[in-house]
Amino acid sequence: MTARESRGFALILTLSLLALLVLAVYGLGVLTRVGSQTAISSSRQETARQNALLGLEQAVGALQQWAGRDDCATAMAGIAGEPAGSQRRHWCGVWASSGAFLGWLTSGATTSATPSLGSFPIVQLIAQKSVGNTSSADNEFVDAGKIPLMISDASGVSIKLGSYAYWVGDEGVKMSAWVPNGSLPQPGLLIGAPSTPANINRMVGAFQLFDTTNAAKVIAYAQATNLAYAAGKKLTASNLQDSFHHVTLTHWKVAPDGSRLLAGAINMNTTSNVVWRSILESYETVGATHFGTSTKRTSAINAIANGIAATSSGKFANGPFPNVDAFLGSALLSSAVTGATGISVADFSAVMRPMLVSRSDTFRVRAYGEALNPLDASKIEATAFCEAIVQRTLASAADGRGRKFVVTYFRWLSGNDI
Amino acid sequence: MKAKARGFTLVELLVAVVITLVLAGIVLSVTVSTLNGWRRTQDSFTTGSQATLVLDYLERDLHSAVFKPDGQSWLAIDLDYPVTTHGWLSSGVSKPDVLDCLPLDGSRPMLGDARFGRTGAWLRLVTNDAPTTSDSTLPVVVSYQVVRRALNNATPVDAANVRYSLFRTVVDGAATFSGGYHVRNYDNQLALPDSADLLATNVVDFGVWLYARDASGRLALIYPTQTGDVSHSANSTAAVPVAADVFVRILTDEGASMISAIERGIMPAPAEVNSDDWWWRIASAHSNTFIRRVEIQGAGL
Repeated sequence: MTARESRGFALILTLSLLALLVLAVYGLGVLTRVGSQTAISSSRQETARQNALLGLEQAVGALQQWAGRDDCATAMAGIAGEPAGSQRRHWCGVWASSGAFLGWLTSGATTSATPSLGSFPIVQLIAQKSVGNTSSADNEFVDAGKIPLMISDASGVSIKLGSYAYWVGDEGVKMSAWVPNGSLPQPGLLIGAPSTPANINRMVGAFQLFDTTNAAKVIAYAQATNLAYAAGKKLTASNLQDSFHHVTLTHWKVAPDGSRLLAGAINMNTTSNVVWRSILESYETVGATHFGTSTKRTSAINAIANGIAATSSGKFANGPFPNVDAFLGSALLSSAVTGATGISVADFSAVMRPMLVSRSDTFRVRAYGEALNPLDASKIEATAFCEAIVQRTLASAADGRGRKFVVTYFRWLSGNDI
Repeated sequence: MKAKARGFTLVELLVAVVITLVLAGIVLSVTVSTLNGWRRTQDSFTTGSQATLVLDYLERDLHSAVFKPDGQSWLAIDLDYPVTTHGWLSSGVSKPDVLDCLPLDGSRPMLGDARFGRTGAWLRLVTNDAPTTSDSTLPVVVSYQVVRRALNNATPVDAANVRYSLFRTVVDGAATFSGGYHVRNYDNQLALPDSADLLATNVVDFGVWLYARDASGRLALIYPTQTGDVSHSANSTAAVPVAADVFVRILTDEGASMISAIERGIMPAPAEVNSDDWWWRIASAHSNTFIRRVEIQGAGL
């Protein structure tokens, strides 16, 4: 063996060790990169969820700020003239007892009493064609504005990291499907299933008449498909979709004396013909005087539902009736129920007054969050949707903000839930 | 010149040997240190990935937990359940039954030091789960528990493949609706998780602390209230949590092999060390602990 060959062996040994070292360092690098990419992906999903929760907190905060007091009124935006088919018709607005408009409980809404969105990108929080009868105009989806979340870097340049959005839906303007025993504001009178449309008749009928044992077990709207509406026939997803804007599980209202929560009252500030049909048909089951014919009743229903959105029916322009007495004493009700029927306003008021309210205490909030790529704000890296039922409770809120709102039910939404 | 090329002096050889040894030592040291770093990173990556998966599931389920203060247990925690009824491979199990779920550092409780008994916590709750067969998120009963089992289905059982694993079992939406929301009613059904319910391997301890808000609005621990507190039921307004700290201890691959060796009698405790201490010493030295606080969003009505 020559000296040169000896040195060559050392070289091979050194190169082998170096190769091993490089391999280990490379492996370490790959592992770290995979780990960091996994962490980034997880972190962006987490950011999107946190932004959605921020949206939910903003919604609850807005509710507390504007709708905490007993004397304010809430309504769906239909009463401000939003027509059927509008993606803002189911926004919820709040008005002071004076009739002054306070705000729309939707992110990105302008301060105008006419519902409109500011210059924000839009996200659908009730997706198009996901609710309502797709063959009619009454299948409103809901838009909200995406509020950007910005930070400034060291040089003062603004960077958009993500955004959030929320929509507050007024559950009090809907019929309550399930009313536990003993919690009615008016014993013996229940806002019943409207005779039409059939899908909604089945939905409410299953809860209130046909499958009451199982109805007591329903804690989420989607569970209603477990209920039967007739022998051997269960509610379908289609029944639930059609009912979404008109039926809630239970609207809980704070009793007038603030001592307990009552179930089943309806906020009359609604332009849903289906809900008005339910109210007027409920009156007819117990009232002393009657419409006489279904045609007359339908005429009255449409007169109220359409008239309540008009600006000249004894209420503030583009606003709700601020209290029940204002509605019961209005020309709108008088002309609708007495014009072509034998019903007197006094009879109607005596029966229905305890079941009607001008503000709601149960709300459905949908919130959205997204995380953007910090290097390219046009790339949405992750999104998250959530839904909560928010209830106004008997407890007082801090700082004189009326009664306290709490989240009573929460779920993350999958894409199919929107 | 030719004579010089043929050989080395003794001094030259010694110098060459010393230099080679020093260089080899340096290279070896760097290599060993790099390999150790690689192993630590791999351990951290492996346990971290497992923990992220586990904690993400727990976070999502606890976020969406459903409550109604109606006397039923909408959430239940039990420690120290009988391992035989939960499908544990009990032969050879040597995890000590150390219950210290509220360890104190001075007067301050330290979740990271907690030990939740031989079994860890068995958590059941009603939550809104992402759908599998339905197109909508539905309330379901979910269970989390640690089970010691073989990772394969070999017969006879391959003792070297026996691991502590965390299982997440879901009672589907229709069955939950039909069976109601008292989660303890599902105990017989949930006690024996299917192998498809495996969420993460090498989880040797799992626990939960629950908080409610006190009169001043601050978080107050409602479970555990003492170190041997083995059970909780969220069946009343006071027992419904608004937040939870979830804790998992996950063994590294090396730690899992060592624990397996201990339980197979291959790596007995040294004479001067108590066997229970030995198990925990190895587990502690070769595991990582992970804690996440989760806010429970829906408090019920």
